[in-house]
Amino acid sequence: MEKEPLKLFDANCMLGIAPGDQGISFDTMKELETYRNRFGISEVLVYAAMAKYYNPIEGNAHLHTLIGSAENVHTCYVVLPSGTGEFPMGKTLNRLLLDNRASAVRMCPNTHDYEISLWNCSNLYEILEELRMPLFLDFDLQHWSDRVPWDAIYELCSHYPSLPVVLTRIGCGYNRNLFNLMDRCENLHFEISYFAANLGIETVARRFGADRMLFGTDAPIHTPSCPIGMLVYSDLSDDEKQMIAGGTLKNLIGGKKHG
Amino acid sequence: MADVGFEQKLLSHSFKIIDSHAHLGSYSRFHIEQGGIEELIRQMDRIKVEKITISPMIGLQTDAKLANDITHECIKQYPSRVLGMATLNPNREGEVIDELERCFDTLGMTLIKLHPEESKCPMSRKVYEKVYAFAQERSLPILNHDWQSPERLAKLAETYPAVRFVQAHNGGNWDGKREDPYFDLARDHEHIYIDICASPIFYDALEKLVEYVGPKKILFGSDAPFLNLAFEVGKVILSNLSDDDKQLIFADNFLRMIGQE
Repeated sequence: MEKEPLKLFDANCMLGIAPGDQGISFDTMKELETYRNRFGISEVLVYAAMAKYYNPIEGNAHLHTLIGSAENVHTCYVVLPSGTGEFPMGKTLNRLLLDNRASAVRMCPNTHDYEISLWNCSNLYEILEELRMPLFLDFDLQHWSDRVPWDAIYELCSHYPSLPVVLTRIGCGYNRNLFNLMDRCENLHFEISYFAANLGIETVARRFGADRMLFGTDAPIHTPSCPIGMLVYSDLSDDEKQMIAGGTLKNLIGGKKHG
Repeated sequence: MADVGFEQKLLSHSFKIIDSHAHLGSYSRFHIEQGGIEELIRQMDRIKVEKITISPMIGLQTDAKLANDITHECIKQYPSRVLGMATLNPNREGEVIDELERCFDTLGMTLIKLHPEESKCPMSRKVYEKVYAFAQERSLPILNHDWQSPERLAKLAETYPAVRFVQAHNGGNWDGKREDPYFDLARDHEHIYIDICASPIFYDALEKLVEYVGPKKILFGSDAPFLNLAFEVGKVILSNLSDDDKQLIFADNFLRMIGQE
């Protein structure tokens, strides 16, 4: 029987104009479609460049304008902690996410300059956990040696065990912290766009399960060619590859795993 | 949606692939799972990589002679799959020429590998003049993690015309935007090359690099097992380059550089 082709669901894609862009950004759905066709991306979870690099409220709203009625394009809202009052919290945030059918949320603590510790973000985490809303943590990691706030991630995952947490752009240099954290926190996941570790995804699949990893690209900043090559050539079963390619994200968005 | 052809492109490729920049073993700063030659060969078979050029990582920071012995054993074990890079401890100036002679007269190495950062010996040190003179005498290529000055590299290429110089990583780390004087050198000087092994890899940067430098001065390297071999092969196969350009990058340029066209 012929093998089913991998169906890629990109968990980490940005829509809109990136800072410093010289024409590669996905300004509109037309560029996003060209990208999806070129690399065979079946579904995509997108956040707005405007939400990360300008203003989350305006950017999240703009994301819907950009997406329109496009199919298989899912929204990821960029969120902020509650202290300043600049971002809705409590029931208002709950309604905002549900009414707008947000599939996931993204925190950008380095870009927006705040701590993810509980003393700063517990109000936000409580709402997200109640909704079983996948939380993507974007530390703007540029290199495998960049520092990651592992203690704060541990605190977050262990205090909110029903909140699915997804680390983005995790590189090959983090295994000595990442593996113990994966072991202790079953709600911790990561996307593989930058996980260029030797036998990396094979080792994680064997030790923690393929359903702890999500295919992602960080397009249009970084190329999808690398994570696609790593996934296709990996020494994993077809089922494990498909789980990483899209199964994990579908489960998280659908809430199958956490509630 | 268009036809999903990425698996076919990757799994059915017919490129001759020779990895010009790889390593072996462990690394102090992070864990490497199964960094030995047997696992690398398994991966090469799976990805259809014909040969790999190695310098064990133990030689970059501590014991260069041991690294060269390990490389020699790998060449003996897999003569059709492994090429060797001679590693040096440039801080022990008195040992440099003896070790180079051992590497090329006895151990069967193909090129010289320098890593001034890991060796803690900056390229401004005079000891490197001995290395250049040796390479000039034997017409050898030198792969350097970083020449630490484009001006130095330009001058060396003029002074040692029989040596081929590789600036590692620059073609891979490039964001497709900023100006890089090494690209001008690679484009303009016959014996200067750049390799593309790196992470992270930016969107369409390889295509722009080929457009700027030309396809004949770019070498494929993976940095495996420091990095992931498949990750690096994927970026070339799934690029928008022509198959001819991909083949130049994957092997032809390197074979020409080491005189095995």
